Amino acid sequence: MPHFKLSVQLNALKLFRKRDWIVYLLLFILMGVTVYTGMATSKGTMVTVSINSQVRYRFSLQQEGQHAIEADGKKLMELLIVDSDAKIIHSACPLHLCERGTLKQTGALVCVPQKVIVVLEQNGEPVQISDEYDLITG
Amino acid sequence: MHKMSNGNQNQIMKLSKSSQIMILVFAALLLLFSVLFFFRSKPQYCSKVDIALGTTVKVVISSQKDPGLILEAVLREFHRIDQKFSVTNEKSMIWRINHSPDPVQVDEETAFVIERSLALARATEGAFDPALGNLISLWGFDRISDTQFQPAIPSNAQIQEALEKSGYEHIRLEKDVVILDKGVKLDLGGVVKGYAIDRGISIAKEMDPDATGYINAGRDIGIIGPKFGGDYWSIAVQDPRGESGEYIDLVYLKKGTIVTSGDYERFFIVDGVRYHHIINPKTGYPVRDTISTTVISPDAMDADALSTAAFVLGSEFSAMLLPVLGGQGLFVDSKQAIITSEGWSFFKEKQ
Repeated sequence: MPHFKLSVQLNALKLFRKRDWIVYLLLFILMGVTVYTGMATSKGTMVTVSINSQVRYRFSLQQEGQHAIEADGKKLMELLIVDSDAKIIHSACPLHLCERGTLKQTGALVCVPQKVIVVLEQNGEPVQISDEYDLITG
Repeated sequence: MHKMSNGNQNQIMKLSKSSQIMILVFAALLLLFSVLFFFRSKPQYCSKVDIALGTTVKVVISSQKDPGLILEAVLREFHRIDQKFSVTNEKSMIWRINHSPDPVQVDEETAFVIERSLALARATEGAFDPALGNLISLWGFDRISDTQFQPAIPSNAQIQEALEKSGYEHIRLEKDVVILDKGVKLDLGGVVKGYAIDRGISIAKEMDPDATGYINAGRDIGIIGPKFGGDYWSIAVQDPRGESGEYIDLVYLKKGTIVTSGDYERFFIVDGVRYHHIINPKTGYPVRDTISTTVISPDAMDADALSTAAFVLGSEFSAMLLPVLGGQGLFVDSKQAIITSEGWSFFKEKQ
């Protein structure tokens, strides 16, 4: 009943008519659909895992925890995602050089013996890791 | 129809002014977002990462032609060179040379790489040596990328035996025929990554002379062209004892190459001792006085060999020698003291 009264008062002020409520409802739904579609298109920062040059896994940086990386039914390593960063652990390679550093420190995690490359991507493009330089040698 | 149209018009006219304004604002916003979405700036650079020559290869290209095609062509070249100059691949040219009892006739490209390697070995008095195949194999650094690799320390007797069958003086190139003294083995790992970078740059430039970008092979870098066509690429030098990404110096390049050799790149640890891949050709053991050398040179092949030579020769001598051989360098010794050659400072400023 109070809502009816308010509507009547607004109509009396000629700000809102009955038909306007339908227009506002339609606009509201349209805006909702636009925002939802936009959010679905923008994937944010993803951790991409390639094995033998083929992208095999994609994780969001929000997917915290240990993720098994496998190929041909064999477990190659685990990818640990925590605090918006990623790290290789428990690699099946002999020297475990790929377990050094985190993704944000190195720009890419690479296991040469098992041909695994882990990179950060934003909307399909590699993420620039440092603001201070373009590249690093050594 | 005409009447219905009039009817609809009347209905819209019946909307309040505020609703009409809201519809117009929403339509304008929708149009704006559509324009921004469809005409958003495309990425300036395309890139692709792959594994070749036992390391990561990242190619970054900007081209008005087809950058994807250029990326693929450059990476294909890396794989071709990897196959051809591998010491462990039984189908490679180097395998054929190393395992033939007779002199081997080689193609023009192989002859060029061997000839240039020998020239660099002579210029550095053997500090860079392309004939350390036996020593490198003995330490296992030719198999370090294998999943089954098991590190082991060779005995002193084994090292002395391998030393006798090592050294660039045991290689002769007569026109297109390679002659190795008995038991000597080639290993061009010290130049082949640099050679692949040089080839990659050539291919990119052949496909589009205006292409810009870079090739990063295991953090050895060759510039294809200036950033955005006119700017410098800022390149940090890794702190050899810092976390990955921490740096000790910053240089700016629009062209040329920059290559680093470090004791932290390929190594294994046995009983708490680190054994890395840069072997002193005179002693047969990993070099201990240097931990990192970085060389800037017009060609990556030269930079590759010179960084290894500088690692073996030590900071003081290398700082004087390198400019004579067409390079500039930054060296970090075992006490983490940093020494640079005189011309290094030229690259620290955007000229």
